[in-house]
Amino acid sequence: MMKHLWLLLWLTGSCLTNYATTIRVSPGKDALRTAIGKALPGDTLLVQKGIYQEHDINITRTITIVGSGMPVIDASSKYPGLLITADSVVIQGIQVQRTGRSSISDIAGIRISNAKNVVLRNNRILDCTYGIYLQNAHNCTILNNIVHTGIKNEINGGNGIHAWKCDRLQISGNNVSGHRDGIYFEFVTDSKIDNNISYTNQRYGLHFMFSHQNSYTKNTFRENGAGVAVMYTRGVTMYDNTFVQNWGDASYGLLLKEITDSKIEHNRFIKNTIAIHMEGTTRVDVLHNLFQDNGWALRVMASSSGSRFTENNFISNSFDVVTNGTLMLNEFHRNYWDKYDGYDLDRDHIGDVPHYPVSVYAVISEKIPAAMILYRSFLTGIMEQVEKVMPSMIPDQLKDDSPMMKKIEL
Amino acid sequence: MKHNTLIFLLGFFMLQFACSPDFEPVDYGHDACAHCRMTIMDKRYAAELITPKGKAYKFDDAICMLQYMSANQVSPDSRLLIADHSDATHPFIDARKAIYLHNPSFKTPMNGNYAAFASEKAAVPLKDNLEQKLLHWEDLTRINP
Repeated sequence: MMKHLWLLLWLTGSCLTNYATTIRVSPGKDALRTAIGKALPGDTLLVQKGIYQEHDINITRTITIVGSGMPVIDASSKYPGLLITADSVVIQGIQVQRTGRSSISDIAGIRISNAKNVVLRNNRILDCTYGIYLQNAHNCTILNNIVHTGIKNEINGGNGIHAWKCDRLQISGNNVSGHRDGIYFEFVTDSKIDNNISYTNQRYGLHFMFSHQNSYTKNTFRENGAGVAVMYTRGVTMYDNTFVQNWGDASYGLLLKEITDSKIEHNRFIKNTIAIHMEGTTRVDVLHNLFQDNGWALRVMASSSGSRFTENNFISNSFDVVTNGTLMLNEFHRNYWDKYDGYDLDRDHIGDVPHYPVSVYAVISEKIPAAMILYRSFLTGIMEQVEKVMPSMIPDQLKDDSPMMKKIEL
Repeated sequence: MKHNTLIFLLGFFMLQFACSPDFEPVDYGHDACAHCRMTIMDKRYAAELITPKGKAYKFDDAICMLQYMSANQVSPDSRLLIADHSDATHPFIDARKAIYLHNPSFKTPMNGNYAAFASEKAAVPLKDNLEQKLLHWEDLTRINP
């Protein structure tokens, strides 16, 4: 009996000590740091509204931090903000602002390092060099945060959401702007990026480097140096994204370099200098996309092969397709081209003569960029007509044998 | 009539200047790397190759320049320039004479992770910090494919 009583006592005791408590934190000198230092694993910190002049806050235990009325952690433009090194930490509803900048180390608003199952939800990260920085993080969720900087400095400027050597991340519903790259992935695998808005970033809205088997869906990339760059990567699925207004010299809606086995479906490319630029790509399926009002819709370098372009709409682009060689190892089928002027006598909604989407002037301007001055001149009109009758410059393998007569419902 | 000749001569010489094989400043945030197509943003690692005819190719790091040189026919008389990592304004220096350090902590745009320095003196403090060897251009060309 005694033995059992001891057990009972021990059990109730351990229950009491392990019982998660909620601690209220109010602004004061080192209030947050002290509270986090005292908190036990499983505790919840309820951070009250106000400004906390604190920095380098290390979270080394599994705790939950909930802000009430968006409390502000201000790193005084000198220091890093929060560092999370424990698993299953949850941070929601706080604002981290004004970290320092350095050319040696990457200073971040919130850094997650060697941890898993961390959740960052509904936070605001403003004017930080790097916004959210994940290194060796696994299975983390970055949900509905606002990451913005108004500081323009390309040397020390960092990325909005930066992930390095991570896997199984979920990045959803964030609003990222003003950084170097909005979202940056380097050595990241099996992750999902969806429903984010990434705009006015200096380089790319979203950038993949050496990151395999990821997907991004339903995102909007607007007015970035370039919308999305996918480089040196395998197995990327890109569904239902919008690429708009990515204008400029070296600007692309989507830049693909050395990528294989990927899918580009149901995206909208509107008003980009070059909607898709492909270089060294293999086996990429481009299906059911809309290309509208772009300078160049597709720029497919001769180093690309085995890609299929099927059932896309090409509407009022200056040039639909351009390439730099005569050899074409990619296939075009059943696309709608507004420049197609063939006929459909058998009424099967498929044009009876093939469409050659490369205009002769696109080939010329690819070789001599300055020739763009004469675009839409009388001379070019003649060249275009002559080329239609007697093709000599355009790659003759590059054609759509079954162009659609009507716009495809996407 | 005399004036016409003068204008012609002036114009001719000005065109000559325009064509001399000279350094072309990198427009950070707008120019794209000639090899990897990424927009060049990082002043600390940028590089430039100028052919004898004066065409400038810009790169975002030393490895991109090396890979471009091995993938394309580049005249050995080309000028190679690279940003000086130690100087805060990052001026371009002769890449063949520069001293290099290699460390993942540099995090250059394409993971080449080479930083260039104008002199050994400038590189030594970082070298000791990172416990690295000083490298020369020849070492880089040997390491790289």
